[in-house]
Amino acid sequence: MMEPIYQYAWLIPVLPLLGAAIIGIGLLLFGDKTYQYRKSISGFLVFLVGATMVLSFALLWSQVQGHAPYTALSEWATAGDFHLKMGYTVDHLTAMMLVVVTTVAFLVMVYTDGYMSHDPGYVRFYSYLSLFSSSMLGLVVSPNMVQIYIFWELVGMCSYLLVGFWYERKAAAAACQKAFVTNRVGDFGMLLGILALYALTQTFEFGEMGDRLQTLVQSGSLSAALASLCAILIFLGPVAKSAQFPLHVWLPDAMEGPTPISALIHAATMVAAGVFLVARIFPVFEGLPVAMNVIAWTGAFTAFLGASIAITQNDIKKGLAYSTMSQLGYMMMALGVGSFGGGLFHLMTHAYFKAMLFLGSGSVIHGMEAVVGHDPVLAQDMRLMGGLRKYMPVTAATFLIGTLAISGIPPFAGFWSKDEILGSAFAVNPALWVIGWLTAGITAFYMFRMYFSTFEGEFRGNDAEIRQQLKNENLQKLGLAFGPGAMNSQELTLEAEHEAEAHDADHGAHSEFPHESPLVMIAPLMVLAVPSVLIGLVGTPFANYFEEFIHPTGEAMPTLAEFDWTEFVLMAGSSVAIAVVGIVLAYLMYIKRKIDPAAIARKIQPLYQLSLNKWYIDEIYHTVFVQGTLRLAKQVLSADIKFVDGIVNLTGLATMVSGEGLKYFETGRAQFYALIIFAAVLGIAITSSVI
Amino acid sequence: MDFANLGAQLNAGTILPEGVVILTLLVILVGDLIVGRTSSRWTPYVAIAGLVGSLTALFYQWDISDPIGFLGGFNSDALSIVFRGIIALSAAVTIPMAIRYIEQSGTSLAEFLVILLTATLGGMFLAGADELVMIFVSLETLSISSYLLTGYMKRDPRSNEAALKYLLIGAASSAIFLYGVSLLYGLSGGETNLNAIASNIVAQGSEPPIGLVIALVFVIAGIAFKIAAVPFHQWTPDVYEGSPTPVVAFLSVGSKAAGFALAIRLLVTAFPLVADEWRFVFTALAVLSMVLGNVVALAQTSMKRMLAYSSIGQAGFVMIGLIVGTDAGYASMVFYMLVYLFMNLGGFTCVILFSLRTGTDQISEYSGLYQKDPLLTLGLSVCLLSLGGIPPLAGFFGKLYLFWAGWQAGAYGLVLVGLVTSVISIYYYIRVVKMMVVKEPQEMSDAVKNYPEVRWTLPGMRPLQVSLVLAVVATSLAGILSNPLFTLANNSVTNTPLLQSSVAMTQDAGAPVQLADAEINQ
Amino acid sequence: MNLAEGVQLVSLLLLSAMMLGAALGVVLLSNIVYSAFLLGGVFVSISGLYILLNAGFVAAAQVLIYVGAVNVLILFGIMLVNKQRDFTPIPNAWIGKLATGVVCLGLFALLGAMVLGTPWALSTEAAAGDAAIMLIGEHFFSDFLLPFELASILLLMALVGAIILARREFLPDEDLDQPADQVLTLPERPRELVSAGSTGNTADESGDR
Repeated sequence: MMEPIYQYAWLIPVLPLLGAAIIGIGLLLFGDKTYQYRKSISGFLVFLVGATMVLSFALLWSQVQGHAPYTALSEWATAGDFHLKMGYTVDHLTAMMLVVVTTVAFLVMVYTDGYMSHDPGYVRFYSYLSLFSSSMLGLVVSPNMVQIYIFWELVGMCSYLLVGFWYERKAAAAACQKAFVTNRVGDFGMLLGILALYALTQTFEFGEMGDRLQTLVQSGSLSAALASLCAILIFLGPVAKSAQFPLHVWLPDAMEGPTPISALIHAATMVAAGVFLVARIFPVFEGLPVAMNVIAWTGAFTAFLGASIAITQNDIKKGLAYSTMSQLGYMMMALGVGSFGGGLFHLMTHAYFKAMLFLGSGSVIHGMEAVVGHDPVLAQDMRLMGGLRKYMPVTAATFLIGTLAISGIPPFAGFWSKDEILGSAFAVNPALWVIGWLTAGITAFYMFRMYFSTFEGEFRGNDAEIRQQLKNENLQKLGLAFGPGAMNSQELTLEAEHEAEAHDADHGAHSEFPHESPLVMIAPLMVLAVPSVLIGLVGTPFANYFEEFIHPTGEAMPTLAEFDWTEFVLMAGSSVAIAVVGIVLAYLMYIKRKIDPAAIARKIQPLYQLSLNKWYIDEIYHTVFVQGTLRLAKQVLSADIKFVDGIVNLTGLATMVSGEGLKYFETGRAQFYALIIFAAVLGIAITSSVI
Repeated sequence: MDFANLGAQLNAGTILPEGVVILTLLVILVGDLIVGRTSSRWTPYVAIAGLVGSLTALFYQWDISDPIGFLGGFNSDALSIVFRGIIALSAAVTIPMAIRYIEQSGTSLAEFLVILLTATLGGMFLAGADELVMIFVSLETLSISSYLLTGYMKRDPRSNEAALKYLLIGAASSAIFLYGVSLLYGLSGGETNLNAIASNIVAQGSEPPIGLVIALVFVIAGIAFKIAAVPFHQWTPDVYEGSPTPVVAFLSVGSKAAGFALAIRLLVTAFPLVADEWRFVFTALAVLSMVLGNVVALAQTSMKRMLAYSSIGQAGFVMIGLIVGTDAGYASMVFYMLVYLFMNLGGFTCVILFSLRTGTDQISEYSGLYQKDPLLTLGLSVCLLSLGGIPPLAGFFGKLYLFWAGWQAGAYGLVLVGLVTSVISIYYYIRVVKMMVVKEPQEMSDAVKNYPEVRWTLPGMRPLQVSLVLAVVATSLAGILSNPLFTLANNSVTNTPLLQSSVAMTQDAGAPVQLADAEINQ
Repeated sequence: MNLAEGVQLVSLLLLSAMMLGAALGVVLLSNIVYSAFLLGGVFVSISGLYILLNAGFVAAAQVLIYVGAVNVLILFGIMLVNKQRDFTPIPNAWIGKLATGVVCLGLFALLGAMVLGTPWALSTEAAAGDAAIMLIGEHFFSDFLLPFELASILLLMALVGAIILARREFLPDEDLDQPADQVLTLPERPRELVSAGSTGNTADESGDR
């Protein structure tokens, strides 16, 4: 009876792709004329994603009812004994991810209609969004590593397109390149890992890959070190995509993209793809303690790193970005300590509340733009906000729910999942637990700092002094970021003038105070608030339905551990306690002004600077990799010029041909080429007769 | 002598595809002579029809029972059929893009086609030649026609320079090749047939004489010149820049395919005794080509030069398949050449279109093209991304197959170099794409600002459009629907007796690849 | 026709000396006309060596083709481009000469070692002598039939190509919308026009590499 929905499950990735293709071709053929029909276009695309959402819910329901996993494969390429299959698979993990991705994508697409309504790239944006949804869904239903890699690259490409959506902004153009390059580094490792694992196990299927690898390791025909190396190579892909240290640098910069993108791609879905992949090939990692440790510690360190940087961020989206990074670190840590269900549970809860937080920040920015103009430097800075609760009550309420959820206050969603992770970390390694626990406190602190300085207190948006200060800081930062020489002072002043003009132009549109966003934007916020509050209840330690449902591929259902009240109270109590400490600190600093944050910052100046400058990681990368590569390239080039040109000029056997028409020839290169050929023949002959 | 008997022995049906090309060539030559300049209205289509006829003839030869023709001079086995098909197809795709280009420069189209068909003919014969004299004559047919094509724009100093350089360097490498061939003749005691040479040399003893190594190196020098492998590559950028672009397109695909066909047949058949040595030499050439081609391409400012260096790098990738010498290795070469045909020719079609409309091929002049000509931008982007190996385009699968074959055969070092350099290559391909797409209107280059209105109705533009769309569609779909191509490539290898025996030998002899590889790694 | 052993040896030495001396002269003399004539000397000496090897047909072909056609063509070429030009001596040209010398000597040593170190499979059959022409003809119409026929296409093409290069171009009148200097040239502009000034020049240089 359920079979038809499985047979048509391939429609899930195909429907949005179809929509994106139709609109894309229309855009290519008719260009700006499509803008007239933008409402019907967006309606069409939202409808398609909505249809896939319904289908996903049907699949989830069927899986919950206990339907067996379903896989459909077809031969795609055959070369000798090498068979490559393509198809789709639906199991518990897939069903859950499908629902998460489609619901968030659907809500974000609805929200986009309000957020982007005045943007000339409205239609283009929608078709990118649809393309992204399709790639992400394709990734989720992939049955083997090759297909996953293809979709992995596709989501990467969509992210590149969307981060650089406002490509006329310099920062956005730079950010999308950074994201692309960083991800290539990870993907390269991942490709190597996939190929190596294929060479070892002769398969691309997830389950078989893990089984064969474990058999090989246990039989001793493969050293555990080599197997771990392969696993870690694959893990490089998730490291880049899920913004784990040391490849996390792209995520905060990626916030230059439009806010719906930040919500959909860089908070809820794509960055979770890394976690998803690790979960997918969990059987590969499971039997390799070294690899598991690497994953766990990478996650823990990233969690702490992200939280420590988020404390000092003033840009609301950057703050949320670092918090995303930190939460992804939690998920990785969970998988690393073997808590499969915990990691995915947090993935799900985080997807909902973080998407809501981002959409909320988008709503705030939308409101602020009415006051300060379309300048991201001003519109996103929390120092200019404050007291917004009065003007945007719905946004403030939903943001508060998200903040409570991420801080781990019961009974909001984040509490249950974070508690589960911390519990399983404690069981494996108390050191990991300590990091996670501290991070939880910091998280509560910076999230409430964000909430208080945005929504409480007095509105500071019209303070000209702060504005000027922000602009100056931005200019200084630009000068620093591009390094001396890359951008000369003239360009800086040009930039300043340009901004001043933009400022003047926007002056007409100014209103005194921000306003609440339109219904189409706050409705998704309200819808997302529901799972942010309630979804955690499916995974409470008393009755963990979630863990029962989600367990690693090919493994028997875990027997639920006996529920231990004392342990739960101890663990949950300590994490709630530190969260409350964080909240109180934030309250004292930013509402009561009892503690002056600036004074503390002055006292621990080096630490403050470390956090503010993101641990100087960008600068280190710039010096080591970017400049290093540039220097190397320059040296190679100059050596080449000196060597070849030098010899060319020296040989100068340019007496062969005369005449103006053959001016080029006077360098005498032809003889030089012939000389090289003969010399090469000589060299090769000698080498190969010697060996 | 009994000539009737001899006629039956010749098995002349094996060269039917080439016969069709010769016939077409003569029809065009004589027709142009009679009709005069107006012949340009029909000659290209006759040429394309002839090449398609030749492809059809090739198709019907697939399961031929006796592939040896002309008393051992020509071998029409599955491998030669595939490579002859690639060469004929590359010529057939080149012609539509040449029509407008040649017409606009005011030169005669019919003669251009005749020379191009002769080059094709030389390449096709080369792919099937099984005997030294035949190899050399067909090689020279290909080369001399290429020199003529290169210098076809005779009033342009760049074209003259390119032709002269190509001629001089080509003559030098032909001489080296001929020297190597004559050494083979001497070493085998006066044999010219490749199989006879191999068996005669083997019969003399198992230890390879030093003369054989020298012959090998000299022969490789000739082949490496044709496939533009570093360090025999210096002519490439100059010639690519100075030649008419359709010629460059043909040289980079058809001529290279012929070179690879020659490399496989000659090395595998005639040099079984020194297999380790030739694998070692090719490993060195492949590494150098991949590194130098891709790195130097980064610094180029002219599109044609960039594509020249990129084609050097691509040849390095293909050599991996040759070096590993397994079934999968050869099949991946064939597959990659098939895919490369479409993506590279598609890229050149776009370059031609752009230079016809703007009169430049500087990379910087492409900026902001998306605003003025989305179709061209799309086509060029797809082809360049495919060349860079971005999934799900065809080039990705070609590279994947090559690297997979290399990895499976244990050539880890080579595959790693290939992976690293292909990442580098992505950078310069993407740079062009970015230049075209991600630029705001005021950053448009002058050439794009003065971009003429897109008119496909001009004479000769319609075929250009057709070949552009064809190449783009093939590049985008060949990856996803690659199974027929995979099957073709595999069958061509498994149906070829000479490769089957060599693969068996490679597996018996242990792991020569690892040996060569280990030396590279040191 | 067998000459006495002693005469053979003397002629071999004489011809070899002549060939080597003339070849060195071709490379080393700076006057290109001398070089061209000395090249003819090299060809003639080689044909003499062929005669010593009992290969009369090859010797005749050598004289006919190389001396009669190639060398005469070279001389015509030099004569037609007879433009007296003094080339400024290039500083440090000796490095190039040295490199060339090293490569040439290296090749010579390599080939010498090879000739001495290889066990050649010498044919035991008696040399064909004057019957060679018949043998060649038979080969042309049996196992070398295909290359022989292909050579005819090659020659046809060379003919067509030579005519294309040499003929006065017929420029149709209807192409008046194009400036005359654009006809018969590549549609792409030369790069020199694009880059400007000294900085552009260095960029150009680096672009070359």
